[in-house]
Amino acid sequence: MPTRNSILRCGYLLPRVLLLWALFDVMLRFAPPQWYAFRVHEFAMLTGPHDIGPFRTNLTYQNSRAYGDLASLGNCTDCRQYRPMNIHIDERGFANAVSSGAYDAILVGDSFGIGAEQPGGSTLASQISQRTGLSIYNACSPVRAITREHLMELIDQLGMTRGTVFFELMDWSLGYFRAAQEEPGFDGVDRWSRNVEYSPLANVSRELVGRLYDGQLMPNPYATNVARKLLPDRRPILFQLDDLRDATPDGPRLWARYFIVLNRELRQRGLRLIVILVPSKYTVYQPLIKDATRTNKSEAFNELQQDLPGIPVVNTTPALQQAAAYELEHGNLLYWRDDTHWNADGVRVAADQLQVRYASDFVRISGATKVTAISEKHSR
Amino acid sequence: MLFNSRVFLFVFLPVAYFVFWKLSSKQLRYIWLTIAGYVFYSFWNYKFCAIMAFSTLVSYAAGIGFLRFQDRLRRKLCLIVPIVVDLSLLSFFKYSGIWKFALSSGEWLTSLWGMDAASSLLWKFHVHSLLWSRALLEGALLPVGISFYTFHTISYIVDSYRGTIKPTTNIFEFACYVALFPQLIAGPIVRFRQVENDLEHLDAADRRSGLDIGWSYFVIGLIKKVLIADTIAAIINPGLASFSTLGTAGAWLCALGYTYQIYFDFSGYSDMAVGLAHMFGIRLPQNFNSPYKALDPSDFWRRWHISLSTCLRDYLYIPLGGNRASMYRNLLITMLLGGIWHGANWTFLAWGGYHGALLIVYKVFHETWDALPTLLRRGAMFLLSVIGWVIFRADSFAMAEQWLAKMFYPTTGYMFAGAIVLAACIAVAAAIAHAAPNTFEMSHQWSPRAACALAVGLVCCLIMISGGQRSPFLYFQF
Repeated sequence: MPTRNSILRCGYLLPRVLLLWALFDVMLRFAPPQWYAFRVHEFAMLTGPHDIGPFRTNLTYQNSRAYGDLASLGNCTDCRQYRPMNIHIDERGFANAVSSGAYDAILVGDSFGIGAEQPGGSTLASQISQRTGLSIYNACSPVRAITREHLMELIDQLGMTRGTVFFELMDWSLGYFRAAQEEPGFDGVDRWSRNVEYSPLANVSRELVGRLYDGQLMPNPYATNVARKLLPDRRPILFQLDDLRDATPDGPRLWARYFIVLNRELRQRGLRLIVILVPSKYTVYQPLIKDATRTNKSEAFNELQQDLPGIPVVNTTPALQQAAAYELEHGNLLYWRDDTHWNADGVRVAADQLQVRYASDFVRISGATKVTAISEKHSR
Repeated sequence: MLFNSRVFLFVFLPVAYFVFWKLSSKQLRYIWLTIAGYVFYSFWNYKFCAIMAFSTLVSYAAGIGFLRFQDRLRRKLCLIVPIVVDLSLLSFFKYSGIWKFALSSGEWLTSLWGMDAASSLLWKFHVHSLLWSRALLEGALLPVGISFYTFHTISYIVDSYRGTIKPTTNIFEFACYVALFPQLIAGPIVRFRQVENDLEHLDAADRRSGLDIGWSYFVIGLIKKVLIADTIAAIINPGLASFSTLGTAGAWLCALGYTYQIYFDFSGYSDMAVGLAHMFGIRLPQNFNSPYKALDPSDFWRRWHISLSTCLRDYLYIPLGGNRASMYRNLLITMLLGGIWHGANWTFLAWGGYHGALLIVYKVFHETWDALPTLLRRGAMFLLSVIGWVIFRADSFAMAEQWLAKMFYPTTGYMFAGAIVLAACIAVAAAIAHAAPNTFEMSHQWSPRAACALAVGLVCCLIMISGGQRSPFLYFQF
């Protein structure tokens, strides 16, 4: 039996176990993220001393054997596509390798724009940069774009008085206008509570516990969020369940109103807005999959485009659908089979569309003789 | 805020604990525990704090009334008015289903009671306005824990009226009793007299021994909840979501799984509550006394959710006449109300009725039953409780009927993922529930090796809490 002063008493030992856990959790935040972030979304959840960006500043995440979230969620080991992943976060909390002196353009958008799933040099920002010669600041944020207020603040910080704002909008957002407009929680109490909620040890625990919930030993509660379909060549392809849902009827109208206001604000600052509409994987591959349920997102994008007279809009859906059909005949895909995001080929198709429509209109301010794509610098 | 959440374990509990023990006076400790209780409660919905504060004030005022008034009429008023207020709040928020039923029964009332069209319209308007104001007030959410703190306040009022306790004049002592966070959300239903002495001597509590016993209870409860109940739930919930495809083996695994899940979930919560209260110098009563070791229905209800069953006995069954007159009727009414206390769901009512019927049958045939071998009685009582849990867990009577049919008529069907792990969990849970001592039978004076084992258990719980799905306690919904 323990004495009253023994350190192996419950009242002494157990609270210290909790304390040690908490201390270890705090200390891990200062370790390299690859120690405790096993997937890119776990890295994306990192919180810290933000400026206006969504990520902790001045940080590099590398993973030599990353694979898509859908394969992970759905326990689809046969669909995994291993690839290296490398993101650098700049001093403002955005995914840019190095700071440039001046920028011609800003790319605003969601995870499709961040390019987390791309090898260096293949992000949307770098592909547009390569085609247009513009120096582009990648200000994309996971899940949803930064707010208008943060965008204006960023423009001020970058000292931009002329140039272009590319707004990448994924069709998923058509069903979630209000959620996409909400303050993402990088400030004040929200930031504090996110920091408390975020736990590197939780990532490690999830990795451990996730192995138990493999769908056989234990049921996988997330598997229902993943839809597995077959391509015409019999290869399995995974979709996020959300992508199989229709856009809400008022989604295009609400987004159109948002872009009109944003366009007006940008014009007052001497900037120009170009909207890039990006379809989800399901919208692109739905015509190629036998017995696939039809969604209305293509029509919703058309509707949005019609509601934005006077604002340049590049709808990449038809080009991506066409290219997807063509590439599939050659065994290639434009989106990762095991993830919601596009791959380098998909980005290329979208960047080509932008070049075809607007390349001659761009204003270069940076004055660099050879503009190096920011994302190309990743690979250094 | 859940006891098994990181914000509770790493922020709320340490702050509440250290500030409490830094305060030396009883009054300040009452105030601090009250504040802690309201902060804890506001994590669900801060608006509901007002309801709890209102209920507290009404009940406190009733207690003051009992001290001040000696005449029968005013004492009766001090008894009835606050109970009506408390029960109205409870029914207003908890039994919207019944109100909706009442709404749909307008025509039925018209025909049955000869109610005229105008009265029927008035009745509908009244119920509509109730439903509308409820939805407006809290977005159709149930204030968590309302069933528990309403029972706390009612028991205080009745005990004060009966003279079992002397009502407190210290509002902070009373507010601290109602809002005591360890037992606020899901009990045990603590009567004032059970903690009165500890509250009176809150400034003289032994921090060291309370801490040792408290952590022991708390971690054992956490292990029961996180490692056993949640693991079982993670397997049977998807299985029950597609219960129509289950075969006999699957139906039995789900039934047994739920039987142990609800016990380990709720008794785990109760142990955590007892442990937390110990850390603050308060001893809460036992809520579970190895109920699956029960030999008969009466024994089961002396062991299962003891704080509720004793409340029902003292505040309902005995006032109805108890064993003296119409015992069977009293038993049935008590158990039906005990069932509906869990929520406005017909299956809860049926579960209460089922247990009422078991108690009646036992009262009739107790001599025959008691003559059976102990093992047989224990096994039979366990089987009867499993059947009861099927009724309780089912979403509808149709589901209960199909589930029971699958259990007792051999059918083949789909076996859900995790069945092997579930069978192993059931075996471990059964060994603990049927053969091991319960937490109140333990000395909580652990050897260093046992303390280290608890520490390992705590680490496993932290991994599961951090890495698994967040799982609320089953009794939060009641």
